[in-house]
Amino acid sequence: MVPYAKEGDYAVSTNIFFKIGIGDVLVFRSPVDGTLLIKRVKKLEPTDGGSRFFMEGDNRMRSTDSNSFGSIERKSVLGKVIFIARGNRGR
Amino acid sequence: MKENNTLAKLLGAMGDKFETAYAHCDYPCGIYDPHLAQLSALTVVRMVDLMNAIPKPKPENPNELLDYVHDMARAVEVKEKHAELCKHEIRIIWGDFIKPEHVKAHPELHEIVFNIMKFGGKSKQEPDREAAMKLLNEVNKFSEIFWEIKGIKTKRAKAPYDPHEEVVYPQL
Repeated sequence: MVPYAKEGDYAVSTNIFFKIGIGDVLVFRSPVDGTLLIKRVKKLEPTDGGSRFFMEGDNRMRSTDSNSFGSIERKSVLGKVIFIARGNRGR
Repeated sequence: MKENNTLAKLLGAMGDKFETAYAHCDYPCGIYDPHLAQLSALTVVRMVDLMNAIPKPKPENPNELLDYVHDMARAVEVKEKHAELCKHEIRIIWGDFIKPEHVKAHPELHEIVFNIMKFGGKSKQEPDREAAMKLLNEVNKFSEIFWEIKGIKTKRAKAPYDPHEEVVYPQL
């Protein structure tokens, strides 16, 4: 997600929001292994009951995203990122 | 959406209470090169040659048997490791670098990758030089397509070391 978020930053997110739109940055569970991921909504894919979300990293180089694991469902989303606090977590 | 250094300090002071969210599975280095896959395929061929060249032990000499088993075990281990490494490197380039438009321009790509996985597996299972050479040949084809996508010409030449088999070199 460089330059929006770098390794060690804090992503502050909320699970209280009205809707998810293109460009929003979400924290969600990977449909592959449940890892917590942070990526941006690239496309909305309408379904009968709502939408699925096609997620991509800002830095496409070696970003593992919906191009490999497909779009994600609403229940995988833990929250919408409201801001990034520059930090040195884990560094 | 803004930066907040004070908050970061505050959050940092709270210690390790947060779950880590990952943006990438790999570090976004952007470095892709089939060279390691080629070297690995060459190594598999070389190991099969070495395995065939290890002197057979005479039954009456237990020390020779020990040497034979030891040398063979080392060669097998290296062969296994490099066949897997070759498959791994190709999977990375195929999964992370190759995009649908590349496959459209080179429709044979998927079959080449499939063959690399297949001959890589066979090279692990058996000391089969023919399978190892097929692996190398498919990796060469993959390398040529990779460099063509990058807009770089290639040439084929015999590696200047054992097993002296043909590999693809980018003309930089």
